[in-house]
Amino acid sequence: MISNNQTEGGYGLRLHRISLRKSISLYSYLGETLHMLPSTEDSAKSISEERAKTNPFIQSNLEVSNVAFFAKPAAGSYISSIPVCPGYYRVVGPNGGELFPGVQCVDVGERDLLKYSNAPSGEESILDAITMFDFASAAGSVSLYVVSTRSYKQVFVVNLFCLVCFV
Amino acid sequence: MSIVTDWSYPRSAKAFTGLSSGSQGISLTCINNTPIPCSAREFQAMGKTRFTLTILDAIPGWAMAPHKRPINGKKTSKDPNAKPLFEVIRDAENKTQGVNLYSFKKAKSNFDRDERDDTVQSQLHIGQVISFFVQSFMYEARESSRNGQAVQNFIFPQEVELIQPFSILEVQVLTNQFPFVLALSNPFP
Repeated sequence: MISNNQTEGGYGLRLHRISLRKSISLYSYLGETLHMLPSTEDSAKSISEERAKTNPFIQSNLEVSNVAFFAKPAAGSYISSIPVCPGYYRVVGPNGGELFPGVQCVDVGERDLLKYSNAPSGEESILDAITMFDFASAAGSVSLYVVSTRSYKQVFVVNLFCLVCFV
Repeated sequence: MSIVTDWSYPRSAKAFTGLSSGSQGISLTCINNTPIPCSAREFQAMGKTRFTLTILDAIPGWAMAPHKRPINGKKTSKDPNAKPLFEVIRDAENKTQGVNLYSFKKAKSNFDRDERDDTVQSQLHIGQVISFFVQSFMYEARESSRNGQAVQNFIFPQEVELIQPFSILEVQVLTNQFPFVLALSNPFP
């Protein structure tokens, strides 16, 4: 049988099995390995590009554009209480400034916002979650796991979804 | 108010996130950045798709080279010169950690491995985003037998139709340099 991953980008990796680990979340990796993630989008891209060059055999599986990073946003960042689109809220920097170097804002899913702010699901709860985010942000105790999901369908040059961790 | 599930567990990840991998390949703990269809129906609804994962932890498997496949269920003696095909790599400052993947020279049989080839190697690091294309054949059951009983194995979890983004997953991957992984119908040679 011919491997489906034998592309010019290398032999690639093959999925053997995926299983859900429902009992844990990103919190489990705070202080363990999350600090090993890049802290800016630029560094994430440059590291990924370098790794793609140095690992030609698995290059087809290494992502270089839709990268991820984990960092603290500027203190005073806040979430707009009006959803940017159904189910998504926008995190913006203090006074409308940059949230991260080169990143103006990120969008966080309602489900993730509720999960990571320890709030029950419900219409009222999202406001509680946003308030908690604002308090934590003012205290400088918010970290965001940010994923770049560039898409031609999106209006924004950089459209980012994120998870929130209160540290 | 409900609590986040893992808040009810000890806050030391080592206490409950240790992977008990029996895999020859690498066990990765990942977070998925895009939805993953787990059933053929969801896959058809989404069309040909690709998903990305960010590596949070990587545990090397136990595959060695040289290696000979057990014959008639009897294990062959381990080669004294056998070297692991996957090794943990970390820098002194604990800024990065990953797994080194070695290839091996082809043996006479596709089920055996000759010596480890140190000139062909790759590295997977924590924080790296990896991507996979989903294709229809990945939803087919793989038949195998354990203790004389037929067992069906699937790549994706069967308890859910779709894995929502930002879920923590245990992902077992193999490299395509392995001859045995090309036999999809027999994942446990």
